[in-house]
Amino acid sequence: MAVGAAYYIASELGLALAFPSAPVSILWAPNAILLAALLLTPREHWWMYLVAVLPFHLAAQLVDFPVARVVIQYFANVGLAVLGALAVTASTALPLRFDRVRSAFTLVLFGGLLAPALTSILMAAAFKLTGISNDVWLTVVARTVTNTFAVVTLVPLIVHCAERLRSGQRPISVKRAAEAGTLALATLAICVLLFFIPFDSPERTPLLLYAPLPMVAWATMRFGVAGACAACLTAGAVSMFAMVNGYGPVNGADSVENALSLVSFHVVMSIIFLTSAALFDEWRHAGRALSVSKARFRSIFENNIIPTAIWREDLRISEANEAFLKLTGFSGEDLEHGKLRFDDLATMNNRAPRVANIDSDDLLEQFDNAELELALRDGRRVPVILGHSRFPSDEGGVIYALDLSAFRRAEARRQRVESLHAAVLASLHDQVAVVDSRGAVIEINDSWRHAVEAAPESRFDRTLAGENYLQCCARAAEQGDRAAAEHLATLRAVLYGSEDRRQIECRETRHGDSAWFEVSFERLRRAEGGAVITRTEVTSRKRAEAESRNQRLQLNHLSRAAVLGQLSGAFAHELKQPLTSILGNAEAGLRILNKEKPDYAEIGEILEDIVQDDERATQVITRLRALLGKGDAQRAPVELNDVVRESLELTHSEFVTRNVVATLHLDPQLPAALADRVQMQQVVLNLLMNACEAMVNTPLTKRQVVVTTHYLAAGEAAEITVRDNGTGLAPGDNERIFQPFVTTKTHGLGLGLAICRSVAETHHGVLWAENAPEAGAIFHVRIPIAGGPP
Amino acid sequence: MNDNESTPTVYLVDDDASVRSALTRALNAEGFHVMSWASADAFLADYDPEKPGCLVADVAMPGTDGLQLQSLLSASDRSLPIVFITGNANIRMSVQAMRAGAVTFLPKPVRLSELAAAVREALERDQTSRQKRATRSAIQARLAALTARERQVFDLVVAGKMNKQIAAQLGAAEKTVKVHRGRVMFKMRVRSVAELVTLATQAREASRLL
Repeated sequence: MAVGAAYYIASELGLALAFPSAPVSILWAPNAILLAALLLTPREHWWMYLVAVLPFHLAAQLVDFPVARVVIQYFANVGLAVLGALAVTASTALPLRFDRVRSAFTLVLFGGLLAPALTSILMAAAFKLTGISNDVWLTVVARTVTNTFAVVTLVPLIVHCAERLRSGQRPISVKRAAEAGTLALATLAICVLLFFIPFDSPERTPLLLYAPLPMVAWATMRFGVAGACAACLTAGAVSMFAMVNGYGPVNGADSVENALSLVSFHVVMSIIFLTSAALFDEWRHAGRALSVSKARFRSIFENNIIPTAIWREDLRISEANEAFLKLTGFSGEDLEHGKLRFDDLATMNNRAPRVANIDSDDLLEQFDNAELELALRDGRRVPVILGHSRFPSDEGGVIYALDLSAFRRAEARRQRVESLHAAVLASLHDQVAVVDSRGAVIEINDSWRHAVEAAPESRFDRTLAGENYLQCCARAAEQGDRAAAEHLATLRAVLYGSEDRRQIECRETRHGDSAWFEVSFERLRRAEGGAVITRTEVTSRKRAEAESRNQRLQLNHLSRAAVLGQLSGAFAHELKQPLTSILGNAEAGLRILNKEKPDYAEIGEILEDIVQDDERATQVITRLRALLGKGDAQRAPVELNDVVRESLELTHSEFVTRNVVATLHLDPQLPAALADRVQMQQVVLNLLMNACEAMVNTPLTKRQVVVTTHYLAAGEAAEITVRDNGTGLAPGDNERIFQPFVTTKTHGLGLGLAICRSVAETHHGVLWAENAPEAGAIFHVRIPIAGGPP
Repeated sequence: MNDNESTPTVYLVDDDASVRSALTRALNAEGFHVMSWASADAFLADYDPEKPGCLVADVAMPGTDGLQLQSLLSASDRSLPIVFITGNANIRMSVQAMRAGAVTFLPKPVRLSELAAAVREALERDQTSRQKRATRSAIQARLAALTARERQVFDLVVAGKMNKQIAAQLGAAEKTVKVHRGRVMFKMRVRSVAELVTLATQAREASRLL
């Protein structure tokens, strides 16, 4: 719509400024406006503009002219615009800018000259054929020049303004607007003053046409293409308006000649100014680009963190950036007058110093990407990587020095860490292998290697770096190696499970001897996962454990023997009772048999009694044998109530001798406990004997021992308590008495209670003592019903 | 069981039932009359000192043991000969028992011949002591019948004094002394001074024995 309206207004204006005798206007702007519109839009939308201007064309022209002329003119105008736009867009890059010499020239040539000329020729021919006008030459020339002027001045102006509006550039400063306004007013004033001179005035001279040129030049210099176009348009339009209205500086005889020469003058002027404006703009632009590029280069150079210096052909350093000065310790003054030579700074290791007249290219080649030392101002040297490049056109070039000292320090630190790591691994007596998350061995220490080399082929975990531990284990496990299966499961649990550390033990046979290893799998604390496998030989520890177990057993045995020694009199008595009965019965039997009429019934009774007493004696002996036995500890369900009863039977005589009365309170609910029967009996016997000993000074009638058993359902435990009526424990003695070789008695080693406690503890139980509320002491033995590991 | 008062009884005290039954049988087979108790206290409750017999006792027994039983019997003047049997003999115990008058101290297991011999000896001792005790009670009864003056005369006669000397000592007439002496001889049922002296000796011995 805007284009259509502008086209219409321009058409009316053009018609008003019609050539005196030709069917063309002296200033025909519609074609230029249409061309500018086409240039600003993509080609696929051109048809809309071409259709849109048709009604306006008709509206403007159909009133005054016959239909044929209007139609011909429409096609001529449209053809001009399309031709010009096609030519310009085809030969210049988008976005369109006419402040470049190339695009301005293209516009002038195609849009301004060729397209108008071609369409004008066709239009003139059409006019001739239809009889509208016979003056072909005039039509062609007049239409061409008038369109050339319009295109050359209007199209750049419109495109410039449209692009400026479209790109939304910052508004013009007040100062510049004022300058533009002043310029416009001055130009207008000069034109109006000078061009509205009547024809008959003697001052009339075509030279006046040159009067606005300073203004146009000003506009061109200051406002570029837009300024030049606007000024030329103003001057041209005013002068043409003046001429059409009977004024003007041109004073030819023929008005057509006058008009033609005026328009031609303006065409030449506008072309000159447009191209020079484009030239100026290009220069200005190039200058600005150069200074920007220079500033960028300087900024890159100055602020670069890589030490950089510029050298001249003689290898003297002319400039250096902050980083370079900081690295070398030189100051800006040191570089003045080329005092510093690049090859003084850079010295190859043990390389001979500078050779006179050396070819700089040869030298540079040696230095290129070389690691060398840079001599600093204070004499120190720093390791650097040196790079250089030669300027393409200039003499000299640039060198870069990359400070390697931090890198070298890090490298040295890394090497130290690595060598420490290697040394630690190497000095570990344990065999260590590190595996990644897939089980591949990534590192082993010397111990591991030696062990693998010494191990038989059949061992599943002989893995060196690069082999896969998991796979080795899996292969062996498939063939039924249980140790391998255990290793496999454990390592998997650590690698993929939630456990950080697991430990297993395994036995190996070496040269016929058993060797024990403890293999620990520890998760590597890093993101990639993996694990450390450590094999530690624990054979000696295992032996020591066995030894200690053995010793404990022996000590237990000795302790039992000691208790039995104490009880030997009682045991003798226990045995002598049945023996007495047997002897008595036997002799009675003999007497009865010697009678004339033996009472066989009585002899039968006697023999039965003898059998019973014999059994009784056997029982006593069996119990003694059990207590004296050296057998290994054996866990089996034990009725603790029976243990208590039997112990009391064994000590019965001792109690009688010592006038001690024993009372039993046994818990019938007490389940069988998993324990070693003999050891439990040993503990109870010890406690019973201690109770007796504790009552040596107690009045005969008060010598009482109370033995109880309880089932502690909550703790799944059984408790035996032995309470005496003796003197009780002295303060602080209730722990001391459990220490070995601590005794309150005049005889004995003092090992009894210590061993009892160790027996309780090997049963995962406890043994403790306290004073009874009334008098005497209570000893408690508590062991879990389920037992513990032997 | 023969309840004849004159039949001596072996009192067996042992806490062990089978020992009791075996020894009862054996002693029975030897012809002894045996009664048995499981504890000293039960025996003490039943014991009748008038009945003749002897005690066969275990030393080590719950409650009152053998040696305590021995001292309890002595203290209550009901002593009887004791044969100790023990499964756990020690010298201290046996010396103590022997000093307190035990017949013997036999270790278990005991041969029947030894036990029977010991029991026999004990019964003999019991019989002897019972006889002596009977004699002494008879003498004592006679002595009790003497008046005070007669007792003085008795003592002096037994001491071997002549009538004259006695009369002088007592400040009485010789004739009076003679009368008293005659009465003493009558009451003591002796015919000669020699018999009287024997009687006095017996009485002294009996009293010492007890």
